[in-house]
Amino acid sequence: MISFNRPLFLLLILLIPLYFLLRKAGFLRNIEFPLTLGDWNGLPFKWSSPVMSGAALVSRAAAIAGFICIVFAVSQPVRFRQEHVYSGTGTAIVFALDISPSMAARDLGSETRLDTARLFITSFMDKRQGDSFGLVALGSEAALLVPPTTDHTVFKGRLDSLVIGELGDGTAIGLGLAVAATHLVNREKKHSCVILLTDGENNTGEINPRTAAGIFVDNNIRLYIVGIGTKGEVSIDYTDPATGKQYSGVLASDYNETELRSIADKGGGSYVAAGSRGALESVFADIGDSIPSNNSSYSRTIEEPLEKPLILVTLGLFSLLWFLKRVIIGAVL
Amino acid sequence: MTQYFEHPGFLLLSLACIPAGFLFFIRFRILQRALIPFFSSRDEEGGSLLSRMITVRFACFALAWIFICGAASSPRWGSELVATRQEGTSVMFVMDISRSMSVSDITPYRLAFASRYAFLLTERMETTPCGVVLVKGSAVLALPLTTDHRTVLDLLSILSPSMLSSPGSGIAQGVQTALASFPRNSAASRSIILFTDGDETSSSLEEAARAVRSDGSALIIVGVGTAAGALIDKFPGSSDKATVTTRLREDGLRKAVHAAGGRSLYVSASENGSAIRVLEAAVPSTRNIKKLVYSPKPVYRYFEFLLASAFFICAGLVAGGLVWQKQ
Repeated sequence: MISFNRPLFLLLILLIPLYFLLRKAGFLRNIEFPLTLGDWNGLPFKWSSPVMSGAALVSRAAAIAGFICIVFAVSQPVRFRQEHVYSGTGTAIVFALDISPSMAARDLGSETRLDTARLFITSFMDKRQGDSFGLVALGSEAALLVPPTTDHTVFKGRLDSLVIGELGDGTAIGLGLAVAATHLVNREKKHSCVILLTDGENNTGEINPRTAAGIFVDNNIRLYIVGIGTKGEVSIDYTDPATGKQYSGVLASDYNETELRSIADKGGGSYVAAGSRGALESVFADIGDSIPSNNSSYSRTIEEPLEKPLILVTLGLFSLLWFLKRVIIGAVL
Repeated sequence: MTQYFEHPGFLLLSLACIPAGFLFFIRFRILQRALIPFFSSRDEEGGSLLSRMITVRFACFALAWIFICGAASSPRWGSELVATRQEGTSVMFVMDISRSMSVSDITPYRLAFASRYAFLLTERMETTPCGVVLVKGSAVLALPLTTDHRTVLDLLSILSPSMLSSPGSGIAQGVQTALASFPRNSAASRSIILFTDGDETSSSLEEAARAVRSDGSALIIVGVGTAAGALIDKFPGSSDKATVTTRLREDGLRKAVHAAGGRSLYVSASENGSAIRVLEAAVPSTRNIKKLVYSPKPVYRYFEFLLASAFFICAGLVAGGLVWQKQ
C-alpha cells in the first residue's frame, strides 16, 4: 500500500490551476513579442504545422507532469511491506541431486528431469525462508557444491548452473549420500535431512550406499529418497560437457526401486517414486510437511521510499521539455 | 563526495545548465539585435529590463534543475538511530589474498598467518554461521554463511594468491561483497572480520566502512604484517628485478574502523591477546540473548532538495511573468 509521509504538501498541486488562473486574470504573462505576419490588408499567416503544435502540446504536458512528480516526491510517498525475520539457521536440508546423463530425459513434461527437479527444489525453498539449504551433485563422483546455508541466493545460483554430466556419466549414490551426511554430522541436536533425487541405481563410487545410509541413523539425520522419472523408453538429448559430443535418442529408463527402498530403510528414511510432475509435487508437499520449518522470529514493517523513481521521471520530463522547446520548436524566450 | 551523495554521478547532470544557458543567451542576443531597429528609446529601457528578467528566470530554472539533479544523487547527511531486534550472530571472513600478503615479514608469511588466525577463530565459534570472501583485484564470495565449519576450515587451509587472477587489492570491494552476502531476513547480528595488510589499490575502504556502519554491522580488521614491511618484486616473473617495500598500513585501517563505528575494532594480528578481543567483538558471549540494537542510519535529504526545486520553478514562472506584466 502506498501512503505519504507529508500529505499536506500534495496541496502544492493546486499551484498549477492557480498559475493558469493568474495568467487568465492578467496578473502573469508569458514572455512573448506578438508579431503578426501577413499580406497587407490580408489575413495573417497561421502557424499550422502539426509537428510544432504537437511538440508545443507535449512540452506543456511535460512541464505540468514534471511539476506534479516533484510535488508527489516532496510529499514523501512510501510503500509498506511486511518481512519475516528469522533467528538461527533453521533445519538444514541438503539436496543430493543426480546429474548423470539420464537426467536429460524429457518424460516429465517438456523439460528435462533435472530442470523439473530444479523447479520443485526452488519452489520448496521459497516456502521455507528461514531454513538452510545445501547442495550435493552426484554423477560418477559426488561433490558438495553449497554447504547448508541460509543464503538462498547462492544456493539457487549454483543449482541453476548445474550441467548434466559435469561429474561423469555414472551414478555414485553411496558417495553422494556420504558427502551430504558428512556436512550435517556436526549439527548436534538441530534438525537436518538429506533429500536424494535420482533416476538411477548405484553403479559407481567407492562407498556402498548402505554403508553411507548408516551415517544417517547414527547422526539422527533424516533421509528421503525420491525416484524421479518414468520407466520404459524415453527420449533423451544431451551434450557431454567433457567432449562436447551430442547424444540424442531413446533411453530405456529403468531404475531399481527395491534397491533405493532398501537404502532408505537402512538409513531410517523413506523412499517415494515420482513418475509425473503431479506425483513429484505431492512428494515435495509430503516432505515439506514432515520436516519442521524455522518459524519466523518476528515480522517487521519495511518502509520503502518511492521518491527516487519520481525524481528520475522528473529529470526525464524536464529534459524532454527543454529539447522540445529549444531544439524542436526553436523558442528563444 | 560519496559521504554526502549516494550516487554522485547524477550531480554531473547539473552541468547541463552551462551549455543550455550558453545556447539560450546567444540566441537571445541575436533576437535582441534583430529587434533593436524596431525599439524606440523608451523601448530600449524596456529591453534592458527584459534582459534582467530573462537572466533571473534562467537562474531560477537552472537552480531548480540543479536541485533536482542533487535530489537524484540521493543526498544524505546526519544520522538517526534505528532500532533492530537481534538474536544470534553471523560472521563473514574477508581474506585479502593479494600478492603483498605473500611476503614474510611475519612467520611463515602474511597469508599463512592470517589463514591460521582465521582457522583458530572459526574453531572457537561453535555454531555461529561463518562465510568467506576472497579479495584480490576483485572480490568473490567463496563460501556463503554456513554452520558447516568443516567446509570453512578446509577453505581457510588452502588459501593462496593464485586463487584469484585479478591483480591489485580491492579490499573495499571485499567488505561490500561480505555486507551484501548477509541474508536480509536474518535476525543475527553481523560481523565482518577482514584480514589484510591494508595495501589497497582502490582506496575506498572508508566508504565501504561507512556502509557497514549504516547497515548496523561491525567491521573488525586484523592487520597482518609489520610497519617495517618487506620487499616484494615489482614485476614478478620478469627479468626486471625491481622491488618495492610493502608495509602494514595501520593508519588507513584504523580510519576505516573509526568510520565503521559501533562494535568495530582494529587489532594487529601479532599483538598478544588480539584473537580474544576479536572473538569477543564478533561473537559476544551474550549473542544468543534477544536484544534491541540501535544503529545509526543516514538521513536522506530528498525533501529539502525537491522543495527548493519546486520553489525555484515557481519563482522562475512568477518573477518572469510579473516583470513582463509590469513592462
